[in-house]
Amino acid sequence: MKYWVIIDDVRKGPLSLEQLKELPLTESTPIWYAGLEEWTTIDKVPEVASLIKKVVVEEVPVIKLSSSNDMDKEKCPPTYMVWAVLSTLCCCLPLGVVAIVFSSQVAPKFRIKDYEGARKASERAALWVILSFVLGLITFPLQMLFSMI
Amino acid sequence: MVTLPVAIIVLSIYFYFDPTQYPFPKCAFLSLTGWECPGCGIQRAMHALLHGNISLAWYYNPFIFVVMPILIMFYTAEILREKYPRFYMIVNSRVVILVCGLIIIAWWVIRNIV
Repeated sequence: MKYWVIIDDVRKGPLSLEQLKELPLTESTPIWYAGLEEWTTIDKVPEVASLIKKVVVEEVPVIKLSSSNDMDKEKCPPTYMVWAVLSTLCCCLPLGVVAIVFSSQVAPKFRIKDYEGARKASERAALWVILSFVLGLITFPLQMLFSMI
Repeated sequence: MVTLPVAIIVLSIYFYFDPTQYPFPKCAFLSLTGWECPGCGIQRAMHALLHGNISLAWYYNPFIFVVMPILIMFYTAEILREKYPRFYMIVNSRVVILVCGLIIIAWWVIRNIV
């Protein structure tokens, strides 16, 4: 038996069942074969309908777009501004001002996606805060000593 | 995370001990240069403020009324970071940080020339 089908407004035929297999058939594809009075659709012709490839919906695994490392990078590093202000006021040494300057560089570097630079600025701010506090603590006993002399 | 307990300890020290009576750390900058640093007097001002004496706090170092809101602003932005990330980024932007730094330096200069 030979079949005629219409795919994309083009009539194709005569085709054998084997040849039909190769075509992109759907249930609504018009079909005709000798013996039919009019065109029908494939779903009305069981032997052809069985050829329609079942669309298997495969479960697509979810792709992890960002690793945990990237997540860390996406978070702006701390500016330590609270500590920078405290070290400027309480340690009485101008080192805290340096900490504030580094503090101010964190967010703009992060904004232009210079994650490494932002991290470094953050670390330097912390370093100068610590330096400021340590020097403040060192000078305290020294002053006590000098005030006694 | 450590800021709040540290703040509570420090504040209770300044509440219970009067810096004019006990040997609190003195300003190294003042003893070295003879100029006052922006924080000079802030320990005594803190003690006065914790006892509700606003005018005495103002007398020791009026800058405490500028610094407190600045510190509270940065600390609030820090603890509410997850909830208000935009507020965090605005507070920690270059402009805001540099303005705070300039305010401190301006006060540093002004108190020594006035």
